[in-house]
Amino acid sequence: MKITKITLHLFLIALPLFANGGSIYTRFGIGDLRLSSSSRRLSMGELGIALGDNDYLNALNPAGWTYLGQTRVETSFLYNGNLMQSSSSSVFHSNTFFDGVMFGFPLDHNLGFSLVFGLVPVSNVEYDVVQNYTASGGVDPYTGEYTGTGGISKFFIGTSYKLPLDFSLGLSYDYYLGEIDSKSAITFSDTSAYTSSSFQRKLTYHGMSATAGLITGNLSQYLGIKNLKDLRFGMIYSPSFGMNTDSLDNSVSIIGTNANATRSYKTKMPYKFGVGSVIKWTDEYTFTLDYLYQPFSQYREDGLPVAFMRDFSKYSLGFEYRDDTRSDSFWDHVMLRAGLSYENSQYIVDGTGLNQFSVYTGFSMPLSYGNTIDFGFQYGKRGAKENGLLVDNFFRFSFSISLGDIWFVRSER
Amino acid sequence: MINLLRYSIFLVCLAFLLSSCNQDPSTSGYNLIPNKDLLNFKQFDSYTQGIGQKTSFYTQKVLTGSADRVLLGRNSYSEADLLYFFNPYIPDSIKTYINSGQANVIRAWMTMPTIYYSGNKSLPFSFSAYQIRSPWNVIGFDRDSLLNTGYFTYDNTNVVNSISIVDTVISFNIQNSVITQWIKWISDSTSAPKNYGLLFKPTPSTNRYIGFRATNGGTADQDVPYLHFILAKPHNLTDTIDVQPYMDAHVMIGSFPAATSDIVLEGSYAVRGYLYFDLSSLPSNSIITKATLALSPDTLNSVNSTPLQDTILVTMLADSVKKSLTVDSSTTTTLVKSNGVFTGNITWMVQKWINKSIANEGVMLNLWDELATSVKLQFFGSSNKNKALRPRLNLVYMQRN
Repeated sequence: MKITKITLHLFLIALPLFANGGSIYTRFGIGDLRLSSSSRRLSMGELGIALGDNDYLNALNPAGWTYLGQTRVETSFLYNGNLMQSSSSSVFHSNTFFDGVMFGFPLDHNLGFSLVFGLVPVSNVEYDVVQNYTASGGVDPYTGEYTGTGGISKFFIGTSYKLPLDFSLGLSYDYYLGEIDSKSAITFSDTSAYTSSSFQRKLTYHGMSATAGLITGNLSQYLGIKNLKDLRFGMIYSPSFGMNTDSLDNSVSIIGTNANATRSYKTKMPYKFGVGSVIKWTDEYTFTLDYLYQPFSQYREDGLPVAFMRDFSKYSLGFEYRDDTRSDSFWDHVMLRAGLSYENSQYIVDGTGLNQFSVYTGFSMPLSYGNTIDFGFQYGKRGAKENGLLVDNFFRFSFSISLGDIWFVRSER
Repeated sequence: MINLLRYSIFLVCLAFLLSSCNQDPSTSGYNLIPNKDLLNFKQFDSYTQGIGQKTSFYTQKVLTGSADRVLLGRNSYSEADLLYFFNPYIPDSIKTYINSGQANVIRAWMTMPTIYYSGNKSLPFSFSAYQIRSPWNVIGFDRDSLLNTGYFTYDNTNVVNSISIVDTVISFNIQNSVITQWIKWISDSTSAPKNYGLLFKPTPSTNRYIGFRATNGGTADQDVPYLHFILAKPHNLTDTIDVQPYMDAHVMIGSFPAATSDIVLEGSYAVRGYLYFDLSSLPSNSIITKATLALSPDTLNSVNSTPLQDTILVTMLADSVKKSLTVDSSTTTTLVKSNGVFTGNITWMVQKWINKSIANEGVMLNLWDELATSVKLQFFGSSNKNKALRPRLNLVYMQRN
C-alpha cells in the first residue's frame, strides 16, 4: 500500500511540473520520438527488440510478452535536460515527463499467452525561443516568443502467443492520441500603447494502428558454443496509418481569445520496422543489437510533405549484467546496464541531417523477487553548430518501478 | 533496505525538482523558426489607402437632470433654461409665527458661484425668473417637457432683480412675496399656492452661457448655489436662513445645426456625430495591436468653453440607422485633443469588427460632458475636399506569415 502511495505521489508530482523549453527541432513534424518507456530499455540503448519480458514490460515488441512470468505493472518517469548550443550562445532547459504505465497479465504460461495494455508516450514537443525586436516602422520595441508544447501518446492493448520452435508472436492494437500546441506571441512593455497579443494553434490527434512482433526461439543450441546460453532474433512492424487531426487557430488580442479557423485533415504516419538480436553469454551477460527504421520522408500533413523531415533510423547496442547466484546479498542482485546508439534523426534542416550519438548506463535495485526499481541515464548529442544550426546535448535520467506478483497473485494457504 | 529504497525514491523526486533550474528562453534557435510561425506587422492608414468612410450628425434627446452642472444662457442657436426647486426647513416654532402672520420675509436673494463659461465674457448676460406652477421632476424632464404648455406652466412675472454678475459669482434679489408664499405653504399647505420652484430664462439679449454646480455635483460649500432669506419675527428678532437647491435641472432648447459635411457635436441639446470606416479589406484573422482614430476640429465653427472641452467619447453602435448601442456601450473610448487634433486608441473596437464579434456599424461621437455643457465642436467630415482633414484611422495589425 505504501508503494501504491509512493507511485501515486510520483505521478502527481511529475506529470504537471517542469515543461520549460527544449529543442527547437521538436517544432518539426510530431517532435522528438520517445522510443523507450522504461529505464531498462533506456539503459540498453532504448530498443531491445529481441528481449523477452520475463520480469519487465515493453511497448515496442508485443512478442516479448510471451515470456511474462508474473502479473506486472510498470511505470516510468523521465527527466530530460537539454543544453542547446549555437556557434555563439547556449541555453539549458529541462523537463520532466510521465513516461507511461503498462500492465501485463500472463494468462497461460505454456502457450505464452499474455494480455498487456498501457499508455506510453510516442513523441514530445517542447521549445521556447524568444527574440527581442527594436522599434521599427513606428512600432514600439517588443519581444517575440515562439513556443510549442505537447506530444502524442499511444494506448495499446495486445497479446502474445508461443509458436512452434519456441518462436513468439505478438500483436497489439495501438490507439494514438495527443495534442500539440504552438504559439507565436509578441509582448510590448506596459507603457506602450501597443497591445501584446498572440496567435495560437492547437492540433489534436487521434488515430489507430497495430504493431506485430516476432521473436525466434533460442538458436544457440545450433551453434554449439559452450557459454552461449541464448541467441534470438526479433522484429517488429507497424503499418503506415492516418491520424485524424483537428486544427484550431486562436488569436489572443485586446478583446480576449478569438477562434479564427478550424480544419480537419489526416496526418499520415509512416510505417515502422525494426529488427534486433539478443545474445546471452553465460547466465550473466546479455547483449542486444538493434536497428529501427521509420521513413519520415513519407510523413504527410493533409496530404502534403513536410519540410525538415527525412527517414529515421537508429542503430543500438545494449548490455546487461545479472548475477544469477542465489545470494542473499542485496548488491549481488543489482543489475548493471549500458548501451550505445547512433541515430539518423527524422530532422533535416537546410540540407543538413541531424544525427545523434548516445551513450547509456543504468542499474536496477531489487525490491523483492521480480520487483525492481530501475534507473537509467542517457547522454546524447545531436546536430551541428554550422549553418545556423544548434547542437542538442541531452542529459536524460529515467526512473522506473516494475512490480510483479505482489498485487495480483493470491498466496496459497 | 526497503526503507532505504523508499528514501531513495523521494530523493530522486527532489533531485528532479531541484535540477529543473532552467535558464530563461533565449534566442538560440530563432533562425530555425519556420517562416509561417513568424509574425509581421502591417500598416493600414485610411488617409493613404483611401478606404470608404462616412460621417454625419444627429440629435439625441438627453435628460440633463443627472448632470453635475446646470447651465443658464443662450447664443444664436440655442438657449439653456434653468429650473430650481427649494425646500427650506422651517422649525415648528417659526411655522406658528408664520401662520399667525407674525413672521415675514424681509429680504431674499441668491448667490450662485460660477464654475463654467461658454462664449465671450464681454458679451451680454442677463436673465429673468418665474414661479413654476406645475409639478416637474428631474427624471424624465427634457426640452419637450419644457415646451409643452399643457404640461409645464409658469407665471409670466419676473421675480428677480438687482442682478450682479462678477467673475466668480452671480447674485440677485428675489421678491420677498415669492419666498413668503413658499414658507406659508410649508407651514400650512392650504394657505398659499404650492411651491414648484423657479424657472430662470436668459433675456433675449444674452449671448453666452454660465454654469453652476448642480445638486448632483457634490455638496461642498464652495461653489454651491444658495438661497438666502431673512425672516423677521416678533420682538424685532430676525432669522437668516440659507438653503441649497433641493432639485435642479437645465434644459437646452434651440435649433438643429444647419446641414454641413462636417461632424457637429453639441452638448445638452444634444447633437452627436456618426463615423464609419469600411474595414472589409482587412483580413479577419488579423490582430490589431494599435488603432488610432484622429479627428481634425474646425475651430472656426466651434464654440468652446472654460474649462476647455478637449475630450470626446467614442461608442460602438449596434445599428447605424437606429443609432442603437451595443452591449459594450458602457465601455467608451476617449479622443483627447493633442497638437490640435483629437486622437484616441480604439484598438478594441476595431478588433471586434475585424473578428466580426460585433458588426461594424460605425461609432457614435459625443462630448464627454454632454449633459453639462453648451459647447459646440465641429470636425471636418468624410467628404472634405482636403483628404488630410478627414477623419483618419491608422492601424498597426499583425498576421502570421
